[in-house]
Amino acid sequence: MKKTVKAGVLNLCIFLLSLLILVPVCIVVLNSFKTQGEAASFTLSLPTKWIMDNYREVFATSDIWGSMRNGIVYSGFSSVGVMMVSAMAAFVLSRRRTGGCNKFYYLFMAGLVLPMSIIPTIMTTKQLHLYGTYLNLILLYIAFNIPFCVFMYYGFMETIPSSLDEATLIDGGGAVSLFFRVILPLLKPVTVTSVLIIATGIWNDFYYQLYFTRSSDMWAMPMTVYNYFGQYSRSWNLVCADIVIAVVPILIVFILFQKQIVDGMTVGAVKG
Amino acid sequence: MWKKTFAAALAVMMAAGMMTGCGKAQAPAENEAGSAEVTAAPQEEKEAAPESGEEVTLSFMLPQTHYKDFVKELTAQFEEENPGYKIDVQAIPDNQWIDLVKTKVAVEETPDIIRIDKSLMLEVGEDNFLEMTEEQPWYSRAIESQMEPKMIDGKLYGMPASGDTAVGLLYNKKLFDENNVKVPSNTAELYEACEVFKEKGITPVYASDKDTWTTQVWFTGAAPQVVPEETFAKLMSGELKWTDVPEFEDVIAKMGELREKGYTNADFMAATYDSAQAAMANGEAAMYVSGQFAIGDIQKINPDVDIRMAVLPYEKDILAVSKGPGQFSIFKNSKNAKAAEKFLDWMSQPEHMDIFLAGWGEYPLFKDQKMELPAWQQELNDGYMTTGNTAVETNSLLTGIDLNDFWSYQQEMLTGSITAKEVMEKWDVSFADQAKAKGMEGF
Amino acid sequence: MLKNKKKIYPLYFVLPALIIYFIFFILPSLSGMFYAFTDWNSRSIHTYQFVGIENFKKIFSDPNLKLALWNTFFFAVVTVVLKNVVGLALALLASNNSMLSGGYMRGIFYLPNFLNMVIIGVMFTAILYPTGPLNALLSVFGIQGMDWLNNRKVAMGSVCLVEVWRTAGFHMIIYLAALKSIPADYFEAAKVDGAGYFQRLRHIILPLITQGITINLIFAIINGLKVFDQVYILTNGGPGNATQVVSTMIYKMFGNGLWGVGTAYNLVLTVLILLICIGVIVLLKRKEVDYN
Repeated sequence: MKKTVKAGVLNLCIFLLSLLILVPVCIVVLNSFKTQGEAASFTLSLPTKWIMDNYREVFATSDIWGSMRNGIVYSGFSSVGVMMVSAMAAFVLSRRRTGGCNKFYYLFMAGLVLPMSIIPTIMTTKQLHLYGTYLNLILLYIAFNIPFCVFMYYGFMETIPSSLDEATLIDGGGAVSLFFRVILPLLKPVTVTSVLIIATGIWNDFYYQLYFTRSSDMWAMPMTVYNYFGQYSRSWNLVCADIVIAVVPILIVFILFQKQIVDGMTVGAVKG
Repeated sequence: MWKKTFAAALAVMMAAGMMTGCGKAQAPAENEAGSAEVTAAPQEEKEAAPESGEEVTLSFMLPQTHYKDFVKELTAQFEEENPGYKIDVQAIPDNQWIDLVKTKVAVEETPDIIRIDKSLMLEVGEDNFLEMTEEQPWYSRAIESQMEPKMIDGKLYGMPASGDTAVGLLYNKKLFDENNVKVPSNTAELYEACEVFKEKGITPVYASDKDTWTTQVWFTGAAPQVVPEETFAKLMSGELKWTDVPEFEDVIAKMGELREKGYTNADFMAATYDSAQAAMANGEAAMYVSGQFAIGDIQKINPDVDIRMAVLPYEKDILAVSKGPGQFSIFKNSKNAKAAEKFLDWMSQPEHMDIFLAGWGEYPLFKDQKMELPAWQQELNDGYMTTGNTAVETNSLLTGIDLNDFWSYQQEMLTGSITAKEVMEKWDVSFADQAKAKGMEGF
Repeated sequence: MLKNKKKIYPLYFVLPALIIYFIFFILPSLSGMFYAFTDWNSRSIHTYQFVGIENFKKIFSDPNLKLALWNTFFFAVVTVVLKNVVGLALALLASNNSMLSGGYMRGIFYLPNFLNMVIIGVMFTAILYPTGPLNALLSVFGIQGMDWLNNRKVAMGSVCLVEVWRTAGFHMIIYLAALKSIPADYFEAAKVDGAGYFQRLRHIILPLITQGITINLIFAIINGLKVFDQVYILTNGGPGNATQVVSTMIYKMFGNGLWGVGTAYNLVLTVLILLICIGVIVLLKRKEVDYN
């Protein structure tokens, strides 16, 4: 009895706390159903008349499908790519810990702090004849996220006892099978967490797309919102509709995967 | 479960990847010149563009705030009338604009056409753009006095795309008529008018100081009434300091006084250009200090409101006018230069320029334009533009200087933490720093 | 064992990451640093000259630097503490898979991460407006509201809180991953011991997630010291210069075409962040050893 009361109070607190997030988000969602005049005030009031026209107009005036496709390409390939290369690197660096390896680790860590330098980067990619291609952006996104991802994996690699490695080796497995069959599955919470974080970050980026493409055909969702920031005056109803459209795909991905963060480690705990 | 979701995600990515691949194959290979034929464009592509045999995509970069509805409509019309031509409009977020243009020019990736102001062109180097001469079909039709403000050392590097535009006092004509208020022409009259509106519960003058660029219109509009153009030349050459001109301090002080006396909305520090438009559109506020472009924006919210423009009520009846610095320029090394020239010529046609300039609330740029001006604009035209009762607004006289610091100091004064005198003193220091860093002569 | 190390932990595993990272990040970034010692600006893109430490002299004589540094540190300290306390608390609640707290929390609190900073800025400008919803709510409780973003005394604090709002969920899920890496039997053992919740938190949970804490602290510190978007969009350094931070000053330099000075600023900021991060890592490493 006492326990259920306690749980009830706790749930109520969580609910109230979540209102802090939900209320502002609701304002955006409600705005997407209002007229331009009504949307300008950014209040939590319901629209006097619910209209779908904003969504219709956004789909009609922006290349939503093309932008989404670009976003999926950038976030998908980059986040999976960065996850693979970083996990492999972190695995070896974390297990070896020799002087040389530590230096590499610190080199990776430096990337968390170092500023990226736009003009030299463009010059580099132009020399490689990559400028203005999808591959260029994917490689850039991978490169910029490697420090974060290595950092995550390196830290969590320690939670997996190295006795496991030797056991695998005795069983006749090589380095590749050890990593892919044993280590990587055990790191699922980290993998899911970092992939989600990185994918979200790339999904929201427009900066690199501006600087590293020649054509607006290669821009992703965040740039479409600027179609509705007119000369000084903004159509907040359309801006909000566009934002909602942009958030839905990544939100779905998040909802699909978020449970994995929590589910993951039970397996590890049993084996460890 | 984990495997399934992963497989699903992978499938989506592959599909997206294939879509991208397709999209790329269809687009003309614009990167390598002449390779379009080699890569064997699909047959139907050629049929779609009967005139030239292949599609030309022109990249056209402009600041996001310039991508107005009428620009969208004009580019769409061009594409429709000229099959085989596609305009890839790249509307750049305002806060990225200057950086992006400088970077793209530096790495020689400038788009085919760019809408650029003279000051920015000076910064990135005019030699990156095609020089415009008599060879351009529109050249002889352009009004000389409109070409001049865009010229650098007597040469033109773009087609004029912005004309004269005034800054001053916007007012709601109906509110003035209803309350029998005379349009003020100096500060004393302004305060009188404010008293009347204040009593009626109408915001006399709307102030939107969160957006510092709206705050500074007061200065740029009022200063030319009392300070001659030569003074600014002396400031730019280091002969004079800003604090040497006592008139500036008074202009700034009056701006603060208006707020201190309670003649503006109480939330002026938080108010933005957005809220200003709304207040003017629905008659909550009677006056607003801004530029001609604002009238169009206000009437977009409420087409029935009758907004007029008058000289900024400071001291003299002189209208501050900005010499439009904007132009459409073509990248010197553009592979599509010929097509880009065709687009500019199309834009310069009177029927298209009329739409473009009416959208901005500006005056004609080409001799054969016969724009029908709305009442408010005709008023200004007859009263000032044609009589020469104008002066150049100060910002146009300070080309190449980043004024953001100056505007920040003005905003700081409005919070009450510094005085008008201190604004000028602080600005003097940062102005000199900037001039020195930019290697301007005399510093 | 040692002989095997080369075989089970082959160095070629590091190569793909290293190559991509080096070519696309390190190489350009370091070569960019060179410009900090030149008079590189937008008018002399290809004809810059070496000027030694001239740019650094300029930086340290900048009258606005003191305020900007103070604001940057204020922002960093406040957000690092709040983000981590809130993030950890949320993660502890969300790791408990019962009822509302599980998936609901993970979803809701991570939501702000999907929103572009521009729209967050617009939203909060509206919410924190003097006549906006927040002040209306406060007045119900008889509290006098204020102009949260344009009053020089509270503006910086408001920006900090918006940042915590935006990123608490990010830190939550990293803490969550850390918590989930703790083998369940540790919890069980502690429960059997009959330790109270806060005792368990302090003596068992926190030491076991030191890695997670390090990661979260480092991210929060770096983001805190590099703060730009949040300030730029919410206050643009105003009112006046009241909320100017180091990165907005760098932005101003670049905007003025003073790329050399801007790069020098960036270099100074980078070194500063590096020193602080190394300090924190060393400190936390010591903690880690204590418990092993």
